[in-house]
Amino acid sequence: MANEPQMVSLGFTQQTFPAGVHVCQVFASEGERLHALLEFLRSGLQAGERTACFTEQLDEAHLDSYLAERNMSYGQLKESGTFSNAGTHDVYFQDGRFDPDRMLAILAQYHTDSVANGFPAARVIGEMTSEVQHVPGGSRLMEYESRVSLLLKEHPVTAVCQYNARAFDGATIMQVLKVHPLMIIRGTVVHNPFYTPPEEYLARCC
Amino acid sequence: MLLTLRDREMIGHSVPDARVLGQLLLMQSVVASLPDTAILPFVVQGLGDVPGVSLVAFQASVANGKDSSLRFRLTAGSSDFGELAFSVTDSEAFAPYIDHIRNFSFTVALIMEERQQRRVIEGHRSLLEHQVAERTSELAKERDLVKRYLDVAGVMLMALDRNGRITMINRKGAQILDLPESSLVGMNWFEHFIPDDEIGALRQVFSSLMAGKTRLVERYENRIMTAGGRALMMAWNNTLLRDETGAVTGTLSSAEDITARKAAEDEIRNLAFFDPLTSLPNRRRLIDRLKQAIAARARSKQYGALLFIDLDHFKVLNDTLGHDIGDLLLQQVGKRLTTCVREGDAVARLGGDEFVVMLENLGESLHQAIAHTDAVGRKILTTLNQPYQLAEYTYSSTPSIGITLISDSQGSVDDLLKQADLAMYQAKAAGRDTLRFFEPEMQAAVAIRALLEAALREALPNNQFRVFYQPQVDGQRGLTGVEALLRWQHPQRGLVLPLEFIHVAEETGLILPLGLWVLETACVQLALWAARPEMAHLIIAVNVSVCQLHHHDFVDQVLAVLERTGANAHRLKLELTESLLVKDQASAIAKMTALKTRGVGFSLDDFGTGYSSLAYLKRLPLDQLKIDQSFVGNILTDRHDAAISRMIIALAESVGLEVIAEGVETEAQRDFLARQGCYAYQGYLFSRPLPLADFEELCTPAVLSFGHDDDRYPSFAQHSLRI
Repeated sequence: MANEPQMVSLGFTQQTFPAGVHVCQVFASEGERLHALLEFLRSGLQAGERTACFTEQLDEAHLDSYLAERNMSYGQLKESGTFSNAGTHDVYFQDGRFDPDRMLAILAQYHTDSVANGFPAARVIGEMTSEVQHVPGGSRLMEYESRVSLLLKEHPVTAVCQYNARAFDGATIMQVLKVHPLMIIRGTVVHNPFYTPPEEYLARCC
Repeated sequence: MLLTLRDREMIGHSVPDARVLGQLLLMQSVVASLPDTAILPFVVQGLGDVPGVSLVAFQASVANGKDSSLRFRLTAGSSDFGELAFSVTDSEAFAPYIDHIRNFSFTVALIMEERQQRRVIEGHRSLLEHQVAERTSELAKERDLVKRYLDVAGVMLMALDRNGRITMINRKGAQILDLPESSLVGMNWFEHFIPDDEIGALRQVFSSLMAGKTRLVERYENRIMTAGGRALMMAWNNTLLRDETGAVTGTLSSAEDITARKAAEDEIRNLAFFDPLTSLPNRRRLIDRLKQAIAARARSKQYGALLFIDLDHFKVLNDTLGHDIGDLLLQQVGKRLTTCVREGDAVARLGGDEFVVMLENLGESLHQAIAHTDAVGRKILTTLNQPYQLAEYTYSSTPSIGITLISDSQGSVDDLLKQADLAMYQAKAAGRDTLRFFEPEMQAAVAIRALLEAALREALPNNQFRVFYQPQVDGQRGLTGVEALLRWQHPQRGLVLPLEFIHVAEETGLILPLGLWVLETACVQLALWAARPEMAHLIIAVNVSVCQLHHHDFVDQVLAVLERTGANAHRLKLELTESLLVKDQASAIAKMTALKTRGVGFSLDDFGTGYSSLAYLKRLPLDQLKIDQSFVGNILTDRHDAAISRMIIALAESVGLEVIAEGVETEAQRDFLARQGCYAYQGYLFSRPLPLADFEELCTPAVLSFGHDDDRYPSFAQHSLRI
């Protein structure tokens, strides 16, 4: 691990952040979700970072033209492994259950591989769907999110977690706030005053 | 712990933690993204982090009882959502946030209120959309229903806009016009479906109608051309379409294809009014025409005639060769009869072998009417006498024709038919193959005329015509010229005046050779007189008939006569009558001008009796006006005739023409005319028309010298009168 964390752009503003920040976006519309997704991917790919996307709704044709307008080849990026995408279900709920340990291992491995393959940094954006509330292990979602914050200290993958405000109840959303140190609010990245450091959160809640 | 209001006031000045305020702000932002159902759980849980608070709950209804909680009513606008209740364990820690939480609660209430309002609006909108959708659906159903009604209608329904474009048409209309409805909408009605020769007029009427300049014709029938090229008769019923302001926006019409009905009506009419065997009008149709002819006669005073034609021995033909052959004869007779009459005349079959020909517009002269009718009757006789080819039989047939004239004195239609029928029986009694007039005097007139015509044809080659000369004198009674007057020296009847035979000459065309003979005779005299000093100055006036003037060769004939005889054209004066100039005036003027340039003079005879007008006098190349003897005769007793004579004299003077009065018989008449400014005369006062020898004798120096003193002219007149 490098002592000096690399500064990365999340794509929404000129502001840069140390690689490995854990950000949450509570979105209310598809437009909001897509905007954040595209900007995050673009900024990462333009910076040469290894970039992954976990969502059920990625319009590849749209992403292709979006990147082509910015002189990037979706096909090449994907073929080279710079960009990868997978459905939320396939990634998070493999075997029909949510397993934080497995996810954290994947995340760590993703970072390790990225470094090994010479990428200056790695980033991932994933949408947590409401399915998590209905699958075995789903109740460990906040534990997982909190542990991600811990993991990223060692494996600084820049991560954005997207939550649909209309898919989760208010209490869950409040919990989501408590496990993400940064939040995207109306296109701006802000520090989350509800954030409870993982050590404290995990001690209190888990 | 119970926190009273007073407690809060006491600790209200403590400094709040910025992190907690940040949380409130963040919650405020996130709340805006959450669905309604997520807001309160989110808020309740978030506010649990506020220092001093152990529990936050939401109560849907406002609690009245006192308890240990602090409550913030979520109120905004007119809505009341309930209360957030705080269980506070550390009032001191909680106190700095009370106002912030109140503000936060209010903000949340505002968001919820706004959401609720939006839901209400959305509900209204949805309701409205639903209602609109329902109404649209109803309208669509109504439209479909109307369309179905329109389509099941058995008539064509069509709407046109102001420019005549089709805006609506039903299925029946599409069928009639041979195009689908979708193609018809937008097409210009007049350009595509009105026959070419009617487009202009109908367009103009439609434009006037749209401009409010013409009243709508609600019902009419007209012919249209379909896209498939069929000509149809349509019966229309029209209504104006108006917008809400009352302005005309187009027309709505229903139309029925009445082509078949019209054809049937025509067929019925044919059956009712036409004879199916010969296709000629039948008795009923003839009676209609006769009624019209009688009415027309009353208006125009023109004679008409009815010819009743019966085929001689037709029954024998029927009995021997059969009805089929008899029918063939009737058909051929019908066709031949139509070739014998003018276009406006009528040929009808009454039934059996009886036909009727009705002639109209035979003129106001009884003479002419009889002559024309007689000519047509004879033409029919000749035509029907030609052999017929009836299948394999060659057959000869003769008709008997009874004639009556349609005049004021005739009675009803039945009377006319009876008269013609009676006359037809007279023709039969006279041996068949002939014609008879109903009126005996007419029959006699016809006979006389026939004799006259025959004699007239012989008169010219037999040298029976004579030219008489009536002197014309000036104010001093000096002989200035003569009028050449035609007489017929009939071997039995003696001297016959033109009045008796000139109309027959005109009707038979004999007038042309006769007129030419008079002209030539007069010109021969002119040439002879030119060699006699006492007569060399005389001018001969020759009457020209309408047939002569309008003959294409008239100018050349006159010039040829002048050349042939050696007469001085300046001594020849042609007398025309006014009526002669009514027809084809331009041509008459051209001919007169051509002759006038060669020296021939022109006098307008009978001026004042017919169509006198100043316009005539200006256009015609005349030299002289002649005051008709009908005015001169009563000039002293009839103020009207005297006035006309004065007018003619003044008129002639004003346009620089000479004027001569004819029929002057007394000194008083001559004096009156002289006082009015007329100094040329012709009449019995001076001399009757004289045979050439008498006239020439009158002009011998011995006789003339007799009158060279002051009483010369009375002597001249007395001498003439003795002849």
